Amino acid sequence: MSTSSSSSKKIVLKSADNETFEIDEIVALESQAIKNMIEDECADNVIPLGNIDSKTLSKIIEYCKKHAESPKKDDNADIDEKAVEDLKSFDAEFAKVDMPLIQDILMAANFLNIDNLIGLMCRTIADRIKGKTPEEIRKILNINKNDLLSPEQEAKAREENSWAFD
Amino acid sequence: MDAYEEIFSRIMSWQSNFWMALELRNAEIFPNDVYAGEVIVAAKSFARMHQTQVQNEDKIHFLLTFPQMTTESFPPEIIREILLKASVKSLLRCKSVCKDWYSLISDHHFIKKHYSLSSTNNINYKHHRLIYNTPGKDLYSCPLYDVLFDESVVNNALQLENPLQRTRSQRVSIIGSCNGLLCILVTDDNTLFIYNPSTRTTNILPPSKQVVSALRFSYGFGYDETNHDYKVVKLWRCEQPSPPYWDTLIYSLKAGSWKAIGRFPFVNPFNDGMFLNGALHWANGYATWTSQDIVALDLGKKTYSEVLQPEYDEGRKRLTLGVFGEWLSVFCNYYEKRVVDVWVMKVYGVKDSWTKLLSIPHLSDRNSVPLYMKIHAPLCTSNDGKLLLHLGTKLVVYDCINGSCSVIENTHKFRDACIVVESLISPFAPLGLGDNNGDEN
Repeated sequence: MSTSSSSSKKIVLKSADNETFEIDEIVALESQAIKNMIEDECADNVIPLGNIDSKTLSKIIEYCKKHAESPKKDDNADIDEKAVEDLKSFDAEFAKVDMPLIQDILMAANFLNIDNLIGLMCRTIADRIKGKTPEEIRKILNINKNDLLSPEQEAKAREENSWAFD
Repeated sequence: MDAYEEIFSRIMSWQSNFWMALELRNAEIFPNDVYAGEVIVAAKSFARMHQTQVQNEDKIHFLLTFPQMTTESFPPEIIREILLKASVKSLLRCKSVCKDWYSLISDHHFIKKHYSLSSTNNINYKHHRLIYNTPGKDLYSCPLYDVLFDESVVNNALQLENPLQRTRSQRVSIIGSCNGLLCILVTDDNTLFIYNPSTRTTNILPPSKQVVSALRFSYGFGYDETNHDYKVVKLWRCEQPSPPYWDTLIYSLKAGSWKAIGRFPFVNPFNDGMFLNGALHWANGYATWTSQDIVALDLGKKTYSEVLQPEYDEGRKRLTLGVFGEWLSVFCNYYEKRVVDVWVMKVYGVKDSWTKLLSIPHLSDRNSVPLYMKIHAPLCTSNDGKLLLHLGTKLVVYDCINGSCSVIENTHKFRDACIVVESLISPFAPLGLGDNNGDEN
């Protein structure tokens, strides 16, 4: 999977379905969790990610590569406007995937502690539940059925905000 | 015991239990199948030796048994992140999803955080709305984005239902906005109310007993950070005893009552107070048309002070105050020169920080005559250098970079206008935000 210069240090990730991904350390550093592992010198061998499948992992690596390559906001004061725009449209395209994958990416990003990606996925989900009924939202987000409001409470909540259901 | 010790130190020291499961496999302590039971037993016996306890035992058990991604719902911290990014309308629906969501969305800390995230998102102004009324009686709300970038409000303007639910709609005037709340005056009978246009909740304020009769009023609305309280200020002109003077009343939302705090120390407040930095600001004193003061009323201390101004040019002028983000701004309208200078105070209270942003020539078209007398408040600046201005009965987007100016299309005239960030903040007493031990006076 690796593409760039051989001089930089490589990190190898292994997905749940035993596919390995060799990536530049700089790309791996986008994940705070892997960064901690590297600092603790726990990342010498293959890092097994037993809860992330290869489809999700390759998406995450795609994201981290792009973000690692882009100039960081706090690097210098005059950020390249074009780079910012470019990253914005990359993010918008990146989020155009179906809901199960969004959820897998979010869980994995949370696990790997990639702040920007968590934010992007949360925003995407927030956009997708817009205009949905509570029943649909429960289904989309797998809400525990033992935690539902009583019929009276639900009727009250709906009545208080009846216009929001138009 | 070495193996136990190692396992236990890992359980105790790693940030995430996920890492423990991984590391155990990685270190090949338990090569392929990690038996959760054994790890727990090992950790427990080690813990007993060290007279401490194993945390999150059930979670460790779960993770070691099912390390693969499950179809479980998201952890609460992720749900919170998602909901923090949702619109107010979505959140009102989401209250019906489940009990956890209901209490999360009703929580004061969540509401505060949601507002601060929404108000700082200036990239696409997703949560910002322009609220305006017409010379008729209707209140409208439309996305600020459309105003700034499509220069049109007709398509997406939403008429707000009569907030007072009175049978007959009445003429209203928008006093100001703060934290997603509007303060509105019914001009027919001087009723004041606080209205959240995003949740459509209304709190009608009781009338002030102190004012017997007055012909002229000026109002202001803001948030008192020290006391975690919303305040409405009413200035009224007392004709007796002569010479006439202006008196000040403050309504505290927390106390639910009006209180007199003494005279307004300057001559003649124009317009309504502009809220910034814990204080309301008025430009005042048009006796001479050559010099005017800017006065600040600190809502926490209830004291007046004068705001130092930039050095304007000579000539007859009129000042109008506005707020651009964190800056107090002054529009200095020179009548003879037919030009408006836009000044901003970049560091609050520091005279030398006043900076002239630009000069806008008076519009030459005949219909813009109201600009001469009625240059209203500057409404906002966009991140790409556009200024939204309220001129007479029009809204105008002025492009600071190329100097072009475009009038917002609308079928009706604008009377008052202000920008509101959508929020869940209640227009009723802000109980539970910070201290609520009722120590107000």
